Amino acid sequence: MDDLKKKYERRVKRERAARKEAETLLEQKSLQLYELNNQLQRQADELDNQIKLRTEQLEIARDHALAANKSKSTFLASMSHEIRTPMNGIIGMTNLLMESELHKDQMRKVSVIKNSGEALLTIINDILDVSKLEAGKVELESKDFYLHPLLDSVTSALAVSAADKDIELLTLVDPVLPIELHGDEIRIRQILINLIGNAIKFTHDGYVLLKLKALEKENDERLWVRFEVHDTGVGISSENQKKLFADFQQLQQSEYSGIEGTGLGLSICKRLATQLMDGEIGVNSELGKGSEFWFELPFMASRKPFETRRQETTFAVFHNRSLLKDKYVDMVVGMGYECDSVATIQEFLELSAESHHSYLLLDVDYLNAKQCQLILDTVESNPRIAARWIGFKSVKDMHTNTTRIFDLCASGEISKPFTQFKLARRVQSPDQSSMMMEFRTPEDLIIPDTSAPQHLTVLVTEDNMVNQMVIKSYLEKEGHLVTIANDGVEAVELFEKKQFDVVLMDIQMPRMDGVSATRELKKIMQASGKTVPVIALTANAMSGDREKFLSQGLDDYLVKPIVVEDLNELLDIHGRPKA
Amino acid sequence: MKGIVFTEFLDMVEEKFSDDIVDTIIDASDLSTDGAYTAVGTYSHTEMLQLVTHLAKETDIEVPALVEVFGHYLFQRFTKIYPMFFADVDNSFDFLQTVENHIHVEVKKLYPDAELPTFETKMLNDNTLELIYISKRPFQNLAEGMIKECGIYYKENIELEVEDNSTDEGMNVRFLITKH
Repeated sequence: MDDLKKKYERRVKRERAARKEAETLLEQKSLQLYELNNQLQRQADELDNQIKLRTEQLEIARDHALAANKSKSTFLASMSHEIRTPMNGIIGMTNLLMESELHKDQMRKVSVIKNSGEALLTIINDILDVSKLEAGKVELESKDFYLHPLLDSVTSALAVSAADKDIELLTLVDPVLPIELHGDEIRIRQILINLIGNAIKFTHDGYVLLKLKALEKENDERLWVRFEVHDTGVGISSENQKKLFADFQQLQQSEYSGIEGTGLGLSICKRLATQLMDGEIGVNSELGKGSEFWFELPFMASRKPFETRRQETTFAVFHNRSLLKDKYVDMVVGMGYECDSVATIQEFLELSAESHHSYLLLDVDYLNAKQCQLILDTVESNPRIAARWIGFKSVKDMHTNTTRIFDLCASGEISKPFTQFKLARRVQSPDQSSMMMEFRTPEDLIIPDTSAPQHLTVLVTEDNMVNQMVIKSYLEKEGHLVTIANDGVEAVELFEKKQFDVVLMDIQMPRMDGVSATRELKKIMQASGKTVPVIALTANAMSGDREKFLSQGLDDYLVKPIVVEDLNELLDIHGRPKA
Repeated sequence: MKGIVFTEFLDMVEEKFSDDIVDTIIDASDLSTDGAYTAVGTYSHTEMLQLVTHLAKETDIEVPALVEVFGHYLFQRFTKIYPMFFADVDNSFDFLQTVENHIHVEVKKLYPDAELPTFETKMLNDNTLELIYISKRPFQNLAEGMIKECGIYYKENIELEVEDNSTDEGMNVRFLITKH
């Protein structure tokens, strides 16, 4: 019994010792766990602190970058502004100099000055645009505008550059597009000029085609218009395409050497199309095969819906280059007419003798000497053959024979760039008016006011002496009488003493600024009962400025550097006696 | 109350009295685990009170005296089980002052849920240390036994003056420890 008890006691002892050892082990492990846990916690805290620190550093860096970018934009904007003012003087005086008697060599030198000045102004305007876009200071103007006159004015503005390179500039508009759109015409024009201008720069042979299409987008009730600028130029590699729309990017490709520019144009286009107008922009191109730059913009639904045309008028086109002939056929067919493509000049002359086609279209630029002679001979024997010819020619000087043929075209002459709108106006006659609804614009838009120019007495308030001279010369050339005031105070004094028809008012001036001076003038007008328009002269050409000036009592505004045509147009509007 | 107090208590009863008494007091008490304790567990202090009360009955020794004896025993055991707490300390005052801010901190690492008494200490002069024992449980005699054993461990002649300021809210006992 004792043995058994001892045996059990030994077992109990062993068990107890084992339990104690297990407890000790457990405590040790617990302590290790505790330490590890602490270590992890410390590491987590450290990481947390590092993240906080890095985040702070990043925030500081970001703020610095933003501030730096902002000051860059501000600096660029004010620099551009400062440069524009003297540029106004340089270009203005150069214009005047070119109108004076110069011998050939002097004229050539002055032209270089003018071209350089204008090139510089373009660059400055680009920089100013980018700065304003970056600063979010560009506002859209939303107005109704007519599509075709816009396209005409864009292509006309680029006609000389295209003609200089013997490139055809063509426009093809989807006939379902409404003739009137609601949007910012100026900005669309800016993008188009840029894209087409680029296309001309990079194309050495062939054509630049502006193509407009109507688009429908899913879940979008707005009317989308796709503008495409196709060229047969050098093309762009896919690698370079990615860089195209970034700021200050000029492609480093041998094909592009010798082409100038700030590298800002496409970046401006992109910001205008995407940020401002809620659209899209892009490019399709292949090296050596030309490019297609495109942008798509949404517009409010058309106010003038598409009307179906009668298709009684038929056309035939002859062109020595089949590539371009196809484009002309497309353009005419795009207007809703039938159009035949004519293979040879002989066939063209034969068709002219028949009465199948209402009009026969002829690009005289591409005729060779033999063809010219054949045409002239044929017309000499049968003058009536040219009765239904519409000729088109480049804006450049031409060979005598081609000029003669152009003059023969009895149904009309079209100066390139050829557009559907120009053709429509040419073939349109009173009895056909309903037929061409889509391509008509209200008379007042295209027919200039022909009333006799008025000679006005103008008070020019401007503190810059060069600007004074430029404006004075412009005005005196039109026969206006000019009085100069050096600042607002002088303007008010002069205005009290003398009668004026129009006041031109600089905004930033010493002693009394333009806005205050205008306020004073308006008081004098109120007292005398005679209203005289006050036109602001400003270098601050920002959207919204017009409203600002108008709200401050000014009647209109002109942007410096002053463009003669704009000045004359404004004087024409405001100088007219009030009905 | 930490399990080690229970296991050490039962060891002491077995050692100082007998294993039969251990069985007796366990049987007499109403215990959550039928007396099977582990050092790393946590148990209600009322179980300890029951065990001590029954031990007092069995041995005819007053509860406070038994608890104080257990304090002596427990301190001796701690010096063996946890030598690291004594390694850098060479006198009782220094040691008692480490209890609150060192030993209890270590205990909390292992047993974050342990409800430990507090020992506020203050040197009144070179030879006098004030120690205030604050606890929800009535184990001031345990503390007294341990303090005394601490003096013995460091071979010092110390004297204890006890002032009980306890209320219904809890124990608050001031020990004035004087070194001679």
